[in-house]
Amino acid sequence: MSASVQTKHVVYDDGIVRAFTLATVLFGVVGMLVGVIIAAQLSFWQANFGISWLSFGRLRPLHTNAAIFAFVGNAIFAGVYYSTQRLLKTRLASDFLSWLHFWGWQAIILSAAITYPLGLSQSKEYAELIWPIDLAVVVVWVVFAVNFFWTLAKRNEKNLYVALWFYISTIVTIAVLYIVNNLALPTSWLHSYPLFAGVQDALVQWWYGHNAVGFFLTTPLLGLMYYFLPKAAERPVYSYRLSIVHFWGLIFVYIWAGPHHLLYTALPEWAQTLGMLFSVMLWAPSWGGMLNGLLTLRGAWDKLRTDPVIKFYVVAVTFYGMSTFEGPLLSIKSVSALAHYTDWIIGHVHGGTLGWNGFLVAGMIYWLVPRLWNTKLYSKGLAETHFWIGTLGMMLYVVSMWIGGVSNGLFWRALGPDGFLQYPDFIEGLRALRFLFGMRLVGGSLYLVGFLIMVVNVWMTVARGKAVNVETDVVAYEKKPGPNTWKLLGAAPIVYSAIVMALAILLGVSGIITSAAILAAGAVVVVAAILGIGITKQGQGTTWHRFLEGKPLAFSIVALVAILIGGLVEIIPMVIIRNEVPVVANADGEMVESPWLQQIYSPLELAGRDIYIREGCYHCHSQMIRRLRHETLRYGDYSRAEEFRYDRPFLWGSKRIGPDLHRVGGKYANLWHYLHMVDPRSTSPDSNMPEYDHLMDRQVSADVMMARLEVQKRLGVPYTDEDITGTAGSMLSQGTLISEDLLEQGVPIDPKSEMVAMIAYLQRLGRGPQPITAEEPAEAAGVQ
Amino acid sequence: MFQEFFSSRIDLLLGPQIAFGLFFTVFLGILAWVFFGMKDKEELHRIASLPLEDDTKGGAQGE
Repeated sequence: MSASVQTKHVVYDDGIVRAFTLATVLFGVVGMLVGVIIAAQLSFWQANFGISWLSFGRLRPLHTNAAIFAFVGNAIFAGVYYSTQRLLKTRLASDFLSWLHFWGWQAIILSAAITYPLGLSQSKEYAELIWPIDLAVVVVWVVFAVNFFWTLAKRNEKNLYVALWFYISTIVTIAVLYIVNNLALPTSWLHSYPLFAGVQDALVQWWYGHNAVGFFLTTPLLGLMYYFLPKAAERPVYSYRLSIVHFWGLIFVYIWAGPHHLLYTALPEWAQTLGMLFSVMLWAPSWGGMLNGLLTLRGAWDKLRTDPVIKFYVVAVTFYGMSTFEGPLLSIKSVSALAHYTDWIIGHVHGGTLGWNGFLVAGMIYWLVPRLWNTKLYSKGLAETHFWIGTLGMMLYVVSMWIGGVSNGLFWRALGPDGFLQYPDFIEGLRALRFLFGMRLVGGSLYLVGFLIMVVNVWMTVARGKAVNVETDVVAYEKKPGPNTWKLLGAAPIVYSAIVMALAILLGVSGIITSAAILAAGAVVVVAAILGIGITKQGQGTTWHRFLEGKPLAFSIVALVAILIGGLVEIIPMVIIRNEVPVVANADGEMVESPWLQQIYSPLELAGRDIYIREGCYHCHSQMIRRLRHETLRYGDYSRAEEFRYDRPFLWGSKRIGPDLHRVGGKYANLWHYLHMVDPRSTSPDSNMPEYDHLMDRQVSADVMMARLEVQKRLGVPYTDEDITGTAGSMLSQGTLISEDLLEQGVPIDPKSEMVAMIAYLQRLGRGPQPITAEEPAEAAGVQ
Repeated sequence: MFQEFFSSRIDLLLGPQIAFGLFFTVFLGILAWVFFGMKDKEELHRIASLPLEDDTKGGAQGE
């Protein structure tokens, strides 16, 4: 060792850990309770209570965000702050920043709890928050990052334990993902349109969405696993080597896998293939990590009988293995063709959140709370009860969703001997799921009951304990000046990698084969270099990786470069194509402008689209017909990329509780849509859709839409000044056409009502602009 | 549409291929280094045992 030794007295800041732990428990209840409510709404449409802000579409993002960011988020911060102090043998850098982080995060959660039921949403899954709250998230995340990295800088332990690597990757990656996916131009304090549109928006969103799972629900929890599991088992992690492979494997592979959410869609094939390939590759590091976790218990399996904490951890790690087996499986195109849009995905997600996240957090809380309040756990028996009820609930949930998903997927794709749909009535499939929806409700409720038992246990433990800040004497290494961070850039692996990349790019213009040859040669050089440097140690007995571990900034930069490359190579080609005029080959092989090119929305249609987003219709209805025979038979011609050119945000959806709507325009009369929204059961018996009669009572505002059109124009949508100044007249004119049509059939309706705007939007889908005035013939309408 | 576009701009798709090759190579390198290059078992064991080092005065009252 190149450092001298001294002893320091450290008082850990456990107050902030207690705060985040209690917030975890509170928001766990909230998130799961909302989950049970929306599960009830799927079984019993009456559970929407006819109240707009309690409807499924508005509560669903509240559930997902509460579970991810409020429940798991607070747990991550509690675990990170507890373990980081111990692993670095120092108190957190700033009490002020810690508490700013805590209250800032809770304020964000509160804001989300208010805005989602009000319908204020960007519609992107797990990124629905409106832009001012997004800004707050970024600020609070920066506060967290500064506090964390500052603590790293003042540490008394030279080496960074693997858990800290996972925390670093989380902080860096989530910052990048969140900012890029939320780039938007505001139209007001409560509304914005995203910078990206259509296919680009879809790719960026699922690049974010997938990696939010990867870097918010996985990497930080793996860090917690690598810290708390050895603590509970009272033995070191099974293989530290394997943990290194686990970390770098995830960092290098995870970021690429986002496109597997868009298989068979309008996304280019190469991006889909990359997504699938990298997803399948994820099997290896994920299972390496799972085995590393389970094998940490070698010699301590007897604790499984007696220690509820170990029970929770074992099931959590097992579910991690199961979810990370299922994820790559679902990413295989042929499996995705069956499973996408079905409840199988919901089962997969809940296996991860309830089993992996929920149980790991529960185990951590049972381990932490007695230590944070300097007492013993109130009742082991209650913890055992929680474990068994939770496990039973989880299994009921996941199994019902597996069965429901597979059977629903088979139902949709079933073709008769004549080659046509065997079950053309969508609602028939929904009807068949009713029992499984009920089973899910029971399973989810049981899981909540188990969690409530934990709340009682935690409450009683806290009540009889006393909060303490742990004090300890640590052996600290005196930092000696070493090679600076910039020297790392000259480290052989990085230099060789850069040379290989530069050469390949430079020579790439001369053809793929040359590039491939250069790459292959370069690959050999890089492997040799890394091996050489690893084996021959640098300087004072330090390998380049050990050097990297001692330099958190350099470590973060390397991790950042790894995730940036993986993201950018997928996104950049898609952004470049955005500015091109879409062309397709005609029958003679000539390149002509695509006849499917989307035309701009009329102001009323755009207003209807924004209402569609506000009500969360995309949670149940997709707008993406995949290139699969059963889909084109059921919904119409498959969806093409150029049909979404001006869609901000994209609304492809990820689940079909109702049918796809991309070509619903003209399929039904205005009256049908009106009746369907006022009383869905009148047109679709057994539908579980909420009633949207409140759309009758609200009016769309021409002033608001004018401002939104101006922003759309600034984003590149070809609205003319006349379009914008004529917004009010256009909306009234198109609305009047629809209201007169309804009046002829006995339904008096305000042409300015939101209901009319929604009908205008739905009637436009899949067939392009509709007449604005009575004089305008329908035939004048464009294609899209 | 994409097919037509990328058939004339194949260079754009070199990036993903190059990055894939590079990533995979670096990953193989890390794998090799971890299993063949890391030979200091004592140091590895010390780092792996870091979570067990924090014997505390006030809080270790759990089950």
